[in-house]
Amino acid sequence: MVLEFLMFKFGVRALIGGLIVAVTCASLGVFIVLRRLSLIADGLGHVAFGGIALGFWAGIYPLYTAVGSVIAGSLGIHALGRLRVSSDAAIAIMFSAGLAIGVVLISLAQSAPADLLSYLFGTILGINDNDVYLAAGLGVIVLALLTLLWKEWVGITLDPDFARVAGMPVTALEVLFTILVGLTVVVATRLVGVLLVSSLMVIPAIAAIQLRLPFRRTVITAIGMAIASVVIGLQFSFSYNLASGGAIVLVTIGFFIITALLARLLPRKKQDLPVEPWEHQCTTEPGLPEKDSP
Amino acid sequence: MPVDTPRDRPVCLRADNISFSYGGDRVLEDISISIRQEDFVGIAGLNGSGKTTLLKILVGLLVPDTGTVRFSCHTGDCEGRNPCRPCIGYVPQQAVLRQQQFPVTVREVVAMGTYGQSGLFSRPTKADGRIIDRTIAEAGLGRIAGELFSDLSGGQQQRVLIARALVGNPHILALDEPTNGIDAKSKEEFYALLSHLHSTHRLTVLLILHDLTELSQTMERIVFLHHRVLYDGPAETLGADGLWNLMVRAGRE
Repeated sequence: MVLEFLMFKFGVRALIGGLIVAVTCASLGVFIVLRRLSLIADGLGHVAFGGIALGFWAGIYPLYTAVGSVIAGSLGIHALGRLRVSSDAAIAIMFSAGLAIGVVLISLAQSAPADLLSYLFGTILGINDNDVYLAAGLGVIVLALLTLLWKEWVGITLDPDFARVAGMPVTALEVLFTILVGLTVVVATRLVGVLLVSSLMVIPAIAAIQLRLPFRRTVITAIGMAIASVVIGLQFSFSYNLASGGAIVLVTIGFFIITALLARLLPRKKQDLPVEPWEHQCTTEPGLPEKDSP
Repeated sequence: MPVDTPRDRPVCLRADNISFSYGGDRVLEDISISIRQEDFVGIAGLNGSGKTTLLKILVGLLVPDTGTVRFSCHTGDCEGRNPCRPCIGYVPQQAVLRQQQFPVTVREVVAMGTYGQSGLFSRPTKADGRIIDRTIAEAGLGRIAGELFSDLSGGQQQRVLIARALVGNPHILALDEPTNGIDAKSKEEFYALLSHLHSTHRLTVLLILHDLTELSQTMERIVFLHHRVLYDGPAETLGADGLWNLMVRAGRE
């Protein structure tokens, strides 16, 4: 039976949590890929791992400490950028720092907590109500900011220099964007795991970009493919007793293969596109004084 | 339209005593220039002479170590890094858009030109939409508005980027080596377009060019830069030979 997991409460929770994560990850993913930051989610995922280990060590709900650590990691990436460290190198430093902190804190606890593996590989079928509420809360914040600042995200993605000249606070927006990615990583960590969260963010986006659609339709298509991947992945996971996070990501890779083949099989011909004479109108008014007044 | 003498026109952009260094390397030293309305200015110089740095300071992308930049626009005077919007329409040298295969249409690119004016959290209005459509039509891009930007030729892409810079109705159009990587026919069309915008619609144009012949033939005024201003005057007076001599002199320094 199709979607038989919905007969169980844990299956319904998994689907709700999965859909929240799918929409959030995929909508940010297109911006991440186009800004050539595909590894940022991986980097922040490992920073989140450090935060999760801190939570276990300090006896705090691990996702709360993960939220704090990804915000600190996001600010750290930008702080390193101001020290003229390139963005990929800054991500690599944060990636390593998060992992190292996590390993050290776990070693202090003598034995690895049993629940730790669920954060590394995800247990979408084992999430509880708290996980769903946290995912919903963070998902609403991320999607609200994504929608309210849509034109700003488009501006800093397509042409940051032009956006700056047009008066947008580009640096502040870049920091906020990285924090949004970090929060989304935390939301997705419980479901697909630290190790696979980056895949759920970037692969539907890369698959959608292959189709060469206008920008908004590319984002909508990425969201559609991420939702379909969660539903199909959960069904496979339930039917064949597979790891749910891995199953979901494998479906996204399936979508990428299909769209990449479609893009190659049906190439768009460059046309001799027609343009017409220019008739621009503009106005001018008097300007600056010849010299500053004393 | 009557042709004014340059000194009759008001100054719309003035840079005073601009200096700038990258690390310990002084790139610009005590640069002062005034741009008058309807000026058609070419900024010339050797590679590494500070042309792009100066333009980036003028449009507000870089902050000078010393000196000030002042603008005058439709909306009043403004100073330093915050030119009145939309004071300047900017066409960058290496627009990220031209380097990657972005899934973005001609209309979406032109629409970006309105983004900076409406402020954070605002949504594009119907009036914005009408302005975008009008600019697309005026730019002769109506029939390709729905096409992907990456499917266009270099010359067509350049036209879209100029339309994006003009959609906010700026006073000054600033372009950084706009003819890089486009073919001879597109270059010809591009210069015809610039000339049309300048002479018919009284737009102030500030342009960095590499090619000496293009510079001397196209521009009305040339600012020759080699970390400081070596020449600032009519292109006609300087001529191609004078420009070549300046290049040689700058090369020796």
